[in-house]
Amino acid sequence: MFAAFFAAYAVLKDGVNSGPSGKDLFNLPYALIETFVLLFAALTSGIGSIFVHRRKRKRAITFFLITALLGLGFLSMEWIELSDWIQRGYSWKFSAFLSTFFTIIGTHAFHVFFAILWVFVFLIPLFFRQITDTDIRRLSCLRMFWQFIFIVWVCIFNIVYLIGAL
Amino acid sequence: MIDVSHKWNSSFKPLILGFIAAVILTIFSYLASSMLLIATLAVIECVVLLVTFLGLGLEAKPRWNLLAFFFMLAVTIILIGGSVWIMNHLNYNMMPMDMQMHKQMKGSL
Repeated sequence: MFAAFFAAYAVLKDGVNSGPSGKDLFNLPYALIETFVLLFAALTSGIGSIFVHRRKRKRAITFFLITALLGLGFLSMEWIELSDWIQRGYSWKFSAFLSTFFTIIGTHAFHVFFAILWVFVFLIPLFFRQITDTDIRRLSCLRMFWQFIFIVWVCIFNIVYLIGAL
Repeated sequence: MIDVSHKWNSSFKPLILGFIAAVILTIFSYLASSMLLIATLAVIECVVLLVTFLGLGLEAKPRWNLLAFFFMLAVTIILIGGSVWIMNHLNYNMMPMDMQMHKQMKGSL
């Protein structure tokens, strides 16, 4: 799915409708900070999952909560960035470039949103009882989901932001 | 399916290694200025993260996950490469607008 979106972006990148291109709109230091926020989320989800494996309940809960918090930080940073563009009139309706950009970013943000939701859904039972084998499997999957989200973001950051701003 | 009993799941080493590699590679590609260099760094970073974060290729012998990954990779390359290739050639073969209009006017005369 992301592959198709990247293909669309690569093809339509220069269709800017005589408006702004990536070079004019992208704020690269801001995107770099977003990258590190998401990287830390992937790291803390990994640490949390290791503590689940070692059946350290409190530490696991703490680290997964940090993950969710960092994910929320990432989403709000994106929200601030993109609502600023839309206020200046450069929403997905403006040009083919912006359509593909918003599609990629929107899909990724959607994944992050559900990853945050999952953290809470999987953590709630852990407040009340000890860690079971089912929890280990669930939270290992959740960890993989977070780290997969970061790998997709690496592609977005490099291909969309950095190459798009050349 | 993921193998949750694998020791990779409960050790800090691959996680920290992947984290440090990601930080370094991200900063490098941020500072890089050519498309080729950025693309290469992106590919390296993805491979490093797939191995350290997701444990790809670390499973026991019949490596179905790895096989599935390579299939996914082939589809992706065909999809992206094919689209870019076709669309660039379409642009190349397209007649410039004024020339097209000129021809149409000639035909109507």
